[in-house]
Amino acid sequence: MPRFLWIVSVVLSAVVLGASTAIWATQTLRPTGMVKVGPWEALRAVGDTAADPYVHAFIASSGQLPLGSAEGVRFIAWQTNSGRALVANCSIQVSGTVDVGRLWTLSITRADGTAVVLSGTGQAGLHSQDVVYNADGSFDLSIGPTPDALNAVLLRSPAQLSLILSVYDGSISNLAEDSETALPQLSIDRTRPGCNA
Amino acid sequence: MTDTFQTSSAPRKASARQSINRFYGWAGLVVMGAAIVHVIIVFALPSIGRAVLIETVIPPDETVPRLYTFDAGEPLPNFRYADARTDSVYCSFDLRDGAVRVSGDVEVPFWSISVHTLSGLVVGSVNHNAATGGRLDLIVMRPSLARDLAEAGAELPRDSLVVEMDGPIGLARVSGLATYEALRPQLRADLAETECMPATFTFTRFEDTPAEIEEEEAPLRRLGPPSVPQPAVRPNF
Repeated sequence: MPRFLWIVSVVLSAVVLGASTAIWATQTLRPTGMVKVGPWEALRAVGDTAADPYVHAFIASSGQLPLGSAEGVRFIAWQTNSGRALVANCSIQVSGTVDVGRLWTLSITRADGTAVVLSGTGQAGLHSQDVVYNADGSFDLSIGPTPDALNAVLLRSPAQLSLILSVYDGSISNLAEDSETALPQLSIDRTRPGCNA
Repeated sequence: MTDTFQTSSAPRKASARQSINRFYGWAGLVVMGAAIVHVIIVFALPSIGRAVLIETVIPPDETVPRLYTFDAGEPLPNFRYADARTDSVYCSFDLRDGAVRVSGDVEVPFWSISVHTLSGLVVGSVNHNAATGGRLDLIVMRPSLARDLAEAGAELPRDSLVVEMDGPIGLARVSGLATYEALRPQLRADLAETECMPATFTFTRFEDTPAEIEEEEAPLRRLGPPSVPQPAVRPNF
């Protein structure tokens, strides 16, 4: 009986330890080839032959269908440059330039990755020709309950969001991880109620 | 008294050492077992994670290439963190039935075709800059079929790009970005007309023997090794 219990404890412990480390490695750890520019993250190599099993597992478990190298790059941001959660009620500010490609789209998704369709336009985001640019080529966009910038997406939601920046006809092959100005900066209005936590 | 103390302490020391050894054995087996479980899960995740994709986008008994249309912003529970501003069609295929051909002609500032494995990884992609006469034409096949076709002297359509893929089940995505609303109806119409069908090839012979020359006048026959799906002869592109 003790030997039986000993074997059961070995099997159970191995299954629990193996499963938890596998889930941790594929969902918490970022796979090799992940580029991080400020709060924006993108997978540099998603080719079938180049990808290691952890990249396969990461993409499969995240439910993404990534862009190919001939298409462009998809960046995802879950937080602001200062590490704050992206909450529409806190008025998300997107400002700067997109230097890595000529055409881009910005989609707003919920925490589970599904798109938020904007009630005013019926669209689920905007693209590079939807925004009004400043004289220096940069743009300012606010996503929140009130129009706080020249470009505004009116959205009232207390839930945490993520932003998807898809850059087409562009490349990040020469993009250094410290070149944060190549992509827009993200911030929230911390003076709003409940946004300073 | 002394003898009693010595005889009783010796087994106790041995028992402690045995317990430590037993613990190390237990821990070693747990670590080895955990490593095996870890590797199994990491390799199995692409299949497990895409179970929903198989059932809804690629039904289990679906083997013929099939086109699925989704409009921009339409909720896609299987494709998270998608670009909600591009319109897309998806062509599902099973390469065990032979090669599949995906082609389209879309008139927007940017459009592309990408080929994905079941786990979502990109096997190949092209954008509108590679189009010939405004048309993109992709043939997806397994490497073994590509070899067989080359040995059989198959002629690929001249403007087709070939993507080789090991995994039999996959997905091709054709996407277009309408930068103006006025472009969207035409974009959707163009995407709906995307071709997604089994690829066919014409075959040439390396040498002409007298018998073969005689056959020139005979009706065209199907050629090719047994492993190649018997093609319907079509005019060469």
